[in-house]
Amino acid sequence: MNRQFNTEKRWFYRPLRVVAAIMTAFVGIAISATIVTALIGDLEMLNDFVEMESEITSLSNTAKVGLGLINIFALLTFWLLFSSIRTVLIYAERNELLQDSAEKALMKMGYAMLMLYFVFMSTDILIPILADPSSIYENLINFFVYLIDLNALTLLIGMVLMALSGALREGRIVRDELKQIV
Amino acid sequence: MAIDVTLNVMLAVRKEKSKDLAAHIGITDANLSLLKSGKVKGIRFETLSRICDYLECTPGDILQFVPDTVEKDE
Repeated sequence: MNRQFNTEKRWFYRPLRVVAAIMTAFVGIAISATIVTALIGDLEMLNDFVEMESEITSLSNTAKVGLGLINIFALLTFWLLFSSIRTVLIYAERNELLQDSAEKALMKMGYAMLMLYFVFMSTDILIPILADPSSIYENLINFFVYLIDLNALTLLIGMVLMALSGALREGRIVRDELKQIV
Repeated sequence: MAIDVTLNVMLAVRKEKSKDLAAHIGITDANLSLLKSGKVKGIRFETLSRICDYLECTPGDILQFVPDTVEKDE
């Protein structure tokens, strides 16, 4: 009966994959667009994005390199996040979450969530510092608040996902051992 | 410390075929082969009970405790 319930509900994972694709692509494009336009010289989107008190008027070469690296890191993070979510949802749809690959995807998702925290921190703290080093003093309190705000939840979720991945691995080992009992 | 499976000996003594025993127990021939060679992690009481019933023996007749010292000597 429980299996039948699972089968009926599993179709739900397919649209979720589409939602994950749209959301990660949207955030990735938004960050890329902001950084690319800033590198070209249009700083309007960047100023809206970083939500800092003082306005960025120009970018030094160091800031440009930093922005480029943050962009690459952010795109890598969102790609890792999407691919791991997609894999886990595919296995969930097939009711095969105890597979080795599902466990690895869950671990990747955990890493992606930890990376996501650093992407958020990069956009909230690193970009303003790179763009205007004097803003450190003006926004000191804001920066500390950014470190412990809701974004920190991604760290927690990442660690929980990694723990879950470990639990799946242990479950699989137990299952494999049970197979060796006749 | 190990448990030695002497099911082969008991099968030979009783002049029974592995295939018939596997059918009686309700496990596959492959699993019985693994059990005979001692390549399993454990055996269910249910399986043990059926083997003993079929071969008219006790668990001690098909399982033997081998202490460490004997293993090292070998």
